[in-house]
Amino acid sequence: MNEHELARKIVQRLNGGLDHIKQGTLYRLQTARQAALDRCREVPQPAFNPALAGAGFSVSRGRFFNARNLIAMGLLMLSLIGITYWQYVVQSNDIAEIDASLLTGDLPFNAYIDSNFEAWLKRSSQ
Amino acid sequence: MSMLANRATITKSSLPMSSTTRRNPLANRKELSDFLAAVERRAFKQAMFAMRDEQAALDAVQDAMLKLAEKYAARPATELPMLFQRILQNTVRDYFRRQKVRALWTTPISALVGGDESDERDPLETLEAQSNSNPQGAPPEQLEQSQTLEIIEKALQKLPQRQRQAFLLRYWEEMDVAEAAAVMGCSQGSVKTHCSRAAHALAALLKEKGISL
Repeated sequence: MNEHELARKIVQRLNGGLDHIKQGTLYRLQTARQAALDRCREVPQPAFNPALAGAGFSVSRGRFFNARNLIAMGLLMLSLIGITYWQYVVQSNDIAEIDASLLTGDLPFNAYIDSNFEAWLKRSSQ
Repeated sequence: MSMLANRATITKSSLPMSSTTRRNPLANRKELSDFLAAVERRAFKQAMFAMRDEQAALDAVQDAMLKLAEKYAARPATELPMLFQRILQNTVRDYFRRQKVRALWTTPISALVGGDESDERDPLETLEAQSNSNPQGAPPEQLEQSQTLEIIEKALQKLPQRQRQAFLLRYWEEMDVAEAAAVMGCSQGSVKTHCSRAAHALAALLKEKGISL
């Protein structure tokens, strides 16, 4: 018996077995099919949108504005706000502290500009 | 039921699209319904051969149907069989990937926690009646057929995944070599080799059981 003949006979038996699937299983398959067809009906028809034609992505409400994308966008916005806060508030506080220490310290302001002062500071610390 | 990764994305270039299919009208709801009704039992059996778990197989078929309807319903009706098969194969593959990842986590944890003897289920509670048990009044031919079918199904389960896939796509789904190769993502030569090896293995397994078709 060659390959095709054997395959034909096996397939014949397998097809015969399809009629003996349990009713519960058949019911679940039917339910799954119905759910798939309902999902198909829910998909909105593509609207005419010449501005985005060929842009490579869809901005239809069902595809883009789903829960996962909204959460990701929210997290991105929060992280951007955090970075901005850190840059403008925390860093400016640090600069303000340095300014305050400069103004209230005993050393004159010119001492920090003088390059020899730093060299003297290093020597004196050794 | 939740299938996480959607790896059923199919690029247009991965499937051969002849000029005939380009001219074909898009599938309507009736065609999609008819197609799913025609393929669902075979799809379930295919998933069962691979997964050996009825609930998982039903979930895989349902997911494949949902993905097909959701993403590819607008494709021509002639493309539906190949698309559906590709989605189903990917869904089954995802299931095994998740099983592997889950085993990585659950095995060490269960080893640490240990099993509680009192929680063990009584196997008699979940024991199902044998499908090949002879109901009263069933003729001997019918019993013999069901036993042969069971042996064939077990032989198919024993085949390596790619061989089984090629054999079923080629002969049960009646795809030609090019279509089966497109669904499996391999060359046409590989499909022929897998089919030939599957047929030889099945013939040997059936001969071993004393089955002559």
